[in-house]
Amino acid sequence: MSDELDEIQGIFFEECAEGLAVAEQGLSAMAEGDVSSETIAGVFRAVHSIKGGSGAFGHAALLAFSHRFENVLDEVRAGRIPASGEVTQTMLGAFDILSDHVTAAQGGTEPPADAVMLEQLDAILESKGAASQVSPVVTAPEPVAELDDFGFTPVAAVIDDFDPFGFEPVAVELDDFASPEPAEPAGWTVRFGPSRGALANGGEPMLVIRELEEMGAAVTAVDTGALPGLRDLDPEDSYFVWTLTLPGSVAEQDIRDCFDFVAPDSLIEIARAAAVVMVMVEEPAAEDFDGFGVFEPLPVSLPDLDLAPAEPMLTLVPAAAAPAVSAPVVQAAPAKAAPAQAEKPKAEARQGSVEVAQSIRVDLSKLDQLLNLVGELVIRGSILSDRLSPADQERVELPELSRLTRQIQDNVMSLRAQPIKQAFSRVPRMLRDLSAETGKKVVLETIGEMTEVDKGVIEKIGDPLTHMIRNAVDHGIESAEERLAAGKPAEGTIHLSAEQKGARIIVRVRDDGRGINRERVRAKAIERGIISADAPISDEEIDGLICAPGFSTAETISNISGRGVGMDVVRSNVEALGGRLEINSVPGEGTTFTMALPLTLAILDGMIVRLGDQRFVLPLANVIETVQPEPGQVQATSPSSEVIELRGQYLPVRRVGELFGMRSHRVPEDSLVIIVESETAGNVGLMVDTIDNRREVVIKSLEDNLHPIRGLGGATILGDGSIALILDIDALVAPTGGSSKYALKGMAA
Amino acid sequence: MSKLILTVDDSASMRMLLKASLAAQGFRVEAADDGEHGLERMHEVKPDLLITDINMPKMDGFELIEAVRSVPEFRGTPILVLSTEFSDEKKTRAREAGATGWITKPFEAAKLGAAVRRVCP
Repeated sequence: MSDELDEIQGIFFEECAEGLAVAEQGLSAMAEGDVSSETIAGVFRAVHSIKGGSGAFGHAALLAFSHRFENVLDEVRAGRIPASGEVTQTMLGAFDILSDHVTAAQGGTEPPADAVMLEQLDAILESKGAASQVSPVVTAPEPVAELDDFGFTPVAAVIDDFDPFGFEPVAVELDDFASPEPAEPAGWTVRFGPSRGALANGGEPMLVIRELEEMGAAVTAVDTGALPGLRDLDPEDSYFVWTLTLPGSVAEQDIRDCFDFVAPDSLIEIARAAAVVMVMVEEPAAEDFDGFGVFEPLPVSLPDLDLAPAEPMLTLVPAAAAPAVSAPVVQAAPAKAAPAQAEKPKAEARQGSVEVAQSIRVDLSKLDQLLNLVGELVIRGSILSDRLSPADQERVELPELSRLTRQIQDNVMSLRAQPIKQAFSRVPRMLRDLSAETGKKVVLETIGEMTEVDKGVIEKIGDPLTHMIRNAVDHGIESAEERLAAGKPAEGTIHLSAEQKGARIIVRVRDDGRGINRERVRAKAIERGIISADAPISDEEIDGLICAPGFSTAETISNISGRGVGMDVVRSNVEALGGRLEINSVPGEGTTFTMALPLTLAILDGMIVRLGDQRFVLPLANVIETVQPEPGQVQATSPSSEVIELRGQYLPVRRVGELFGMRSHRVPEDSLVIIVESETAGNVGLMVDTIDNRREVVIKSLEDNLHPIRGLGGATILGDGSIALILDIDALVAPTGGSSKYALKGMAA
Repeated sequence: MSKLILTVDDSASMRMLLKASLAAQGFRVEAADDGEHGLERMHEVKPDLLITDINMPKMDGFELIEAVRSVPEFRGTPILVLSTEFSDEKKTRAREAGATGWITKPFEAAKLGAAVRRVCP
């Protein structure tokens, strides 16, 4: 059970993360003036769920805080507290602390200090006198104190204090009447007369009586006086009043608990026998029943009811005189539901079962396993198509099999797809904080947030996105004065968009700020030794420099960006995802960062090249062009280095075979030079023997079995069953020991 | 055959917790993640007891109960509502919708079992 609880708890924290994202989004919307009831209800529900689960898993501090936060949200939701800017700001602050609480609960660390925030929340409640109106159940602050063995924390006393729906106790006040002997408490007498409709809505007085019996009760009398004739009988009404006795040792509360679910307006009297109801029933013994001449005592027959409630009910009234005819009918009524349920599943088992549940939660690793298996299937399919002649392929219907396999693959991929909204949801909040820090006003426009991307990609674009937005606000957007002077609106705008293009997701961050100051970037790059002073460099290349490692144009290191790690981190993160980052800037009009990301991390668009009898896969994303060298186009500049002359420029050339210790006696003219783009060494030519073809490959990680090998990002299995290694271009061409940026971990199996 | 309980809650952890608690006490458990699915599942599995959360997207617990009660077949099926707090107002509303009783979250396994047996022996 404890493993199971751990697992459930893990899911609870996932839900917390989702809930926090929803709450943040909603609060952000509220801060921007969207105080629609759906928005507020969404935030409430998120916090409410966190509270519910935190109680169940014994996270007392989280429970206590979320509970108080929820109180305020509940009032706001009900419109008793206006969702003013001030209130929303406080709730945003409370949200931060709630996040910290979740983190602390998850990590088992010290909960954050929340006393000040709690005071603020309480102040909001008190400001309109709401505190007192909140239901007493909700405001009970103590529950936190008593954690029990199971890790359950009662939210409030309610658990031990079930009271019936709207039930006004008819019961005689014990203190008013009874003066039980302290030494030996008198036995209880309980009278129970279910109200009209007691058998509706699943009500079942028999169960109450049975529960009382388990505590030692005995039914001593049944008043059937109210029983009408057959024609007037309502099957949902109970017409009887039972009188039971219980041992005095039973706690009153335990007796009351039995009546929890009894319909309101029922007759329920609980009293010490000696004191009150003696008039009616004076310690009647079982034998006395004959004296009443009506019923066999219920306790005798009730235990037989377990399996077939309807039948024994009939036996309850063998001695009945006047009501003999109608009683069986009456008694059959409560049991009616049971046989109905027992039979109908057979008769109507399939009726109404057309639609099945529409979503399930699946462990991500299971999806990855499935994806991996589908990958194997794709590979086996390729092997078959390599081995069979076209005619044989047709004969065994291989094309159809391949089509199905591809469909399965697409489907499995789509299972991992999530709306990119999840990554975008952090942005509004961040922008508001940035606005506050910089004093710049910024409006966010979002397009395409429902675009679906692989979950792994979503998880990894958060950081690049954060950096890009920060960069845009810090460096791109001008101050309000500057903007007005330039004839722009005082508020800057950041457009955030996502769209799918082929197998790529294009995410753009566009600002309408001042654009990149190329003179300054160039000067800085020269100063930092990133480029030489006389290097001929295009505008685009200058723009690209802001992503160079160690580059920062911020004159002062600001709190936001300008730590000098911003944009090069963005670039390397994006490239680690197998994506590309482009920067377009128009001076005075703004800058656009464009991330082109793969839809999935498990499949790579690759160029398969051959070196001797080995084949390698080059990620197509890195390939710029392929050159068949003319004699003399590739020149040695030293015994160990070569360059290729290409349209007046010289690019370094590496012989891929030699990088892996393979000798090739080919001359360059018999080889191909593939120009690839790398982060570590710019554009580089890679010399290979031939190109086999271009295809999608399923990435298999090598690191499960081997130490990381520099220059290799993974492996794949080709159609003929042979293994091809996937080149990690950045690491391969890095001048000195560049680290692998080509992250194949995580997704690949 | 042990009794079959349908639990409806939008929180997966709560569904699992309910399932674990109830299964350990010998009940069979089916689950749905919101009111709409809950109603579909009612028709599919025809449980002996429905336990539903109140605060859920799409169709909330009250609406679910009303919808379930409007089906003649389910008029007598016991329904327990599950919520973190029960004001009198909330209980009345649940009762009016057709609930049989309620359980407060968080629940102890034993209390949950007692409440369940109170309506579904």
